[in-house]
Amino acid sequence: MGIMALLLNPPLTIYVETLLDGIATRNDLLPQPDGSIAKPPYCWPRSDRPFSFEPYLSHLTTERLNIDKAIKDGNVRPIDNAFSSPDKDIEKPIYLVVDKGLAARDRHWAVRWTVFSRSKPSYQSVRTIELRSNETPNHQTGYYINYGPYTSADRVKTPAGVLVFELGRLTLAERRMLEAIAWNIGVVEANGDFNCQNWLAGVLSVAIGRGLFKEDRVRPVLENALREDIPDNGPNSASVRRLIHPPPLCTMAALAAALPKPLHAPAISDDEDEVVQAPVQQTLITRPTRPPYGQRQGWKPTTPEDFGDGGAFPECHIAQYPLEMGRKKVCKLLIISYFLLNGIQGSSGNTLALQVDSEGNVRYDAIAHQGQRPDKIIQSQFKDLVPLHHRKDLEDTDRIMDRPSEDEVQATADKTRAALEKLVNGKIKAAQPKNVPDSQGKTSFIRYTPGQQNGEAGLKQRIIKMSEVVEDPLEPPRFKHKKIPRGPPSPPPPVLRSPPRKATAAEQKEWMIPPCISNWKNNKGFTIPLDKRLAADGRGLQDIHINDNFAKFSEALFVADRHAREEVRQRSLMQQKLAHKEKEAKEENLRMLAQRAREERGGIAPKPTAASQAAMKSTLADYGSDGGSGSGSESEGSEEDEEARKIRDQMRAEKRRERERELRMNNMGTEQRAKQLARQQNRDISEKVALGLAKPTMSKESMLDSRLFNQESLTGNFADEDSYNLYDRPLFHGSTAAAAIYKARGNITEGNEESFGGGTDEGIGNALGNDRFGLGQARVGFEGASEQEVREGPVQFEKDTGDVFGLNQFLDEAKTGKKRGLDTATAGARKRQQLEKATERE
Amino acid sequence: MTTAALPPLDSLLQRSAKRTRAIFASAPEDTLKEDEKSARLRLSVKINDEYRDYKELPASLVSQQGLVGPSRPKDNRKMITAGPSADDNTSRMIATIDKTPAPQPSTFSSSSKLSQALTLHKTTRTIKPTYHAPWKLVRVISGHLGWVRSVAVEPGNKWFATGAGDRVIKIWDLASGELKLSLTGHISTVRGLAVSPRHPYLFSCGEDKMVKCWDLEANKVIRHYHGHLSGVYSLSLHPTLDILVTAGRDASARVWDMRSKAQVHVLSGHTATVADVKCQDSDPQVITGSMDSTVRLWDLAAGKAMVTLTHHKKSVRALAIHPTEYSFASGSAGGNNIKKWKCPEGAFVFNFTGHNAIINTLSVNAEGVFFSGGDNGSLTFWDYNTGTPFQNMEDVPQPGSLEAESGVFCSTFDQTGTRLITGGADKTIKVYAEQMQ
Repeated sequence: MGIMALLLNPPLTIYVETLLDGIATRNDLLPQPDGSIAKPPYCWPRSDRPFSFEPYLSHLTTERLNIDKAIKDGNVRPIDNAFSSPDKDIEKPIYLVVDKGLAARDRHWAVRWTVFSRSKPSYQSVRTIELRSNETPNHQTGYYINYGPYTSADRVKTPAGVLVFELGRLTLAERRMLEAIAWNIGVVEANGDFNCQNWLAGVLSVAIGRGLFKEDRVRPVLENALREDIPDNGPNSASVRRLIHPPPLCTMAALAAALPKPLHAPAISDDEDEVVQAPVQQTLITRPTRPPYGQRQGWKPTTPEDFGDGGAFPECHIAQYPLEMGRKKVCKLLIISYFLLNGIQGSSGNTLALQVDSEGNVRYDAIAHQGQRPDKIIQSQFKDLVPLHHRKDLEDTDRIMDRPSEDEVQATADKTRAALEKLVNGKIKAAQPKNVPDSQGKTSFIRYTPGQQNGEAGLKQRIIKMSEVVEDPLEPPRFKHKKIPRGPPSPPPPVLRSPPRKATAAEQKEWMIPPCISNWKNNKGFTIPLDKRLAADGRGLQDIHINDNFAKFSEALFVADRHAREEVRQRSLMQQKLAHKEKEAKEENLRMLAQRAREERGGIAPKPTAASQAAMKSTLADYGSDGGSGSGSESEGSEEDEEARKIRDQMRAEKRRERERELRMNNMGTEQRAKQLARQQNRDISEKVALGLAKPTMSKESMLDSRLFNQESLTGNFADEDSYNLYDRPLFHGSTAAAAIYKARGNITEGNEESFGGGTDEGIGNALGNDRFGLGQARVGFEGASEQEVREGPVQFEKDTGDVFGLNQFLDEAKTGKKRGLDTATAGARKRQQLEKATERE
Repeated sequence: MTTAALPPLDSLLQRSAKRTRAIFASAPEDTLKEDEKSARLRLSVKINDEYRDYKELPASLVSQQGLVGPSRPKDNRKMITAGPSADDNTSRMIATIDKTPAPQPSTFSSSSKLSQALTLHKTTRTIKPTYHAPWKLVRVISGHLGWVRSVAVEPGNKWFATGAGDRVIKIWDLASGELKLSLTGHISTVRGLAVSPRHPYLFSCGEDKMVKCWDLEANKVIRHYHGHLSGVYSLSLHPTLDILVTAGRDASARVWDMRSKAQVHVLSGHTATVADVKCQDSDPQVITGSMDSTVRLWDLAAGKAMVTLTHHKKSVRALAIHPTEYSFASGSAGGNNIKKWKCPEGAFVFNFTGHNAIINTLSVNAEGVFFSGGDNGSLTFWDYNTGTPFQNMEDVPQPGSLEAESGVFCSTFDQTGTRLITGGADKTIKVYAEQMQ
């Protein structure tokens, strides 16, 4: 068989232990009619999309392909672009792609064919079957990994040149077969001989055995690829290829040229990938060519390569950025590109990777999360506006609002306390410096032995005293403490509310406050002249019309008033006249009476007429002024005169005394007079106090709670300054202190039996005679009290049955017609009585 | 000439039609119809010829896009047809031929129909609220000479303290409503009060930038927490740590160590006055509501904002943390102004709709009675679990007040949750209680 032939005469060692048992004969390796390959139940994570998997199509274990080791070391499978660049069902040439410029066994080999992007048919990728080395930086532990065939646009681009050999043409089914073979060939430990060439030779020999390739075609290709004198004109020929490094990227330039040209010129150059079009024979590496000096007319140095390591070209008059110095960074906020899909952060700092959530939706809120702490929750989506019960993305458990358990609370508290204590301790320590710098400074002694003693040693050792420089604690700080400007605030959160609505016209009208127009000042603040103000006022412009009836009415009122007054005057005049007449009549009558009396006394007593008698009787009844003693005998007359004179003298003396007293009082001081007045008006309470009868006034007002409502308090201690109401209330009103001092000792009705001596006569007498303060019996006592008779017991009142005003006496006298002594006879009589009493006393 | 010679067309046509009828009348009807099998064959051939490449998205695209996008109605799949000619039969046939895999329902949008989704909304809305007895005013305490701006109930539930615009803190007996003590010391309105459950301390803050710690055994100020740059509007004590959080007009909330008076953190990030701050024992341990119309939840250990809630349209003046449920509410002005949030992530739960006023204060008790007091004196009691209002009241200002003096500034439930104490612009403290049945 073909495989045997290759094994028998190999240009390379083919490691049989890498092959799957029965790889040349097993039929389940063949692609199924639908194109798929029976796959073992294993998948692996795709590197480009989280949570999606690709089939692992090998019948070998992952250890044999070194895949689990690779995953453990952090290697990822190259991204398989088969979904976007499918392998179409047409016959295609298959190439062996060989790096050149290295030693024969150091070259990287790969089997490749071209595929084209579904969306951009001119966009070229290659399907690759190759062995890759691991990408760990540790070169010592290099190993090969068989990731299986994959499609990648990377593999098109290369800085180095490659050689391309056609192995044959295969249909899609045959290519699938070839891929299945590649899947099922493992790798061996690095042993100094095995490398990708051996592995690829194994693939090709099995493919020959399965009839995919012709042996007479493959063998010369391999032999050529193993020639040392392979043509070398690539730029990287001198660079050392190491086993461990990733295999060089190979250009498919030659391959592309061999293919029919695409319909449209491949002017498309993607951001990341560029297809280098080159002739078959040689790879062309575009190298920055700098025109020699003098020929730089029209040449524009733009890329860093144009400058090399040097500076700008002064002869080129365009903006130049050697070493990218001075060029502004382009801020691309959101670049949606293939690479960003992989979660690779964009190179420039402001570029943000496009992220998708677990459902494949683009996460537009990534920009809100940029630069924030990872634990920060940022609400930025519509679902954050939806009430919790209406949200579809939450489980019922997410809606439960139970408080955390005690343990969780305790854990939170402990965590927080620890964090805060650290802060607080730091602050307290900073505020209270414990280690005040020692003014003396620490002094230490160092024994110093010089290392290099130049021959003769003057001093073997020295002791050095080391002390700190003393600092003046009051010295102002040497460096000015500058306040660091505040850092930029955290980015604003996404706003989840609608913008405020525009105020409608109605609302605006509601808020319109008319400007204040003053009558006195204009809007510049100057006073408006009076005439202008009045003119503007318009008050003087309209004349006032008063109804005629007002005048009529007032006139009528006036007339009526005058009329009434006249009437009143007339009436009073009439009354006066009447009174006058009556008076005259009375006087006439009296005169007549007097005349008659004189006549009687003189002996010529004319018989009174009946009329005159009656008149006299009536006058007597009217007047009653004539004393009853008028009818006394002649002999008694002189005696009576004597007595009357005496009385008159006495009365005169008394009057004089009274006048003197009045004079005294007029000359008295105000204080004394006030006292006197107080006594007269019953306002002197000193006696009451002495008797313990003074009582505080109780007021109904104090019973009310004035605090109930916050009206002006009646008991407020601090009244307005304006209101002078200091003395408008009784002295003892409501004041508790005063009540305590001037306390009535109760009275009998309140159950205090001892008060007022029990109410009995002797008790009261005892109480009155009780010399409480040991002052002895008052010698002087109260003024005028000595004139009173000494009482025994309380004051007793008796009804005065006597003729108090001397009325009866007067009437009697009047009846007798006795001559009147004085015009104040009644008063005289009373006085007389008193005098009599006084003489009796003496 | 010739036309006249030809026989009339009508009769010819009539005869022809008659003949046709005579020929085909005997035949059974279905022979005239197109054979079902052949039609099917024709259709499938046509579909295969013309639409093979478009029947199905490429696998890669399907995998990329499969779970996204609105779902198509599952049954009676239809095709866009050229006109009305395509009858039902054809479309049914197409449906049977078509082997395109039915698109999988997206998880993003519900698979149910729109009407079902709407009914679902309805069912979730109609959770029955629990019954709460109506509340009524039981006591009016007049004693302050200024707006009553803050109130706090002592942990022992014996007394409560109020702070007012007359710069005085007054302590009242809770049972009798008698004044026990007046504390003077602030030189401007007292805006925040808190009584510590673990110390004999009362904390107060005011518009005079001062935060004071009163020793209730001596009734004296023993500490000042100095550092606010402007008036301090709110104050809160941490339930488990010896930490005090104050917030104010300098757009910051400050965390103080109670004992050492050291400022542990400045929680800065708000761009306007922080009107209210609340603490709780589990994350987020500090919540602030600000006049920049945001609510921020803070990581106390780090001193950084964890979440910023920007749903409110106007300034947030009030916050309330439920004592037993892991959620809180915030209130601002305008419609949809009271919002409930779920802790710890601050997920929006729902709106309390129906109190169109500037919300000055919010309170909630353990039984789920939620109270909101407005700047215009409107009071609303809600069921906290469902957001249903069960009582609307108007604050009655004390006699002698202006009409404008009927605002509620502060409120709190007592420790048992049976009494609600509010302080208002009419300078009174009002006590509400549940009506006994």
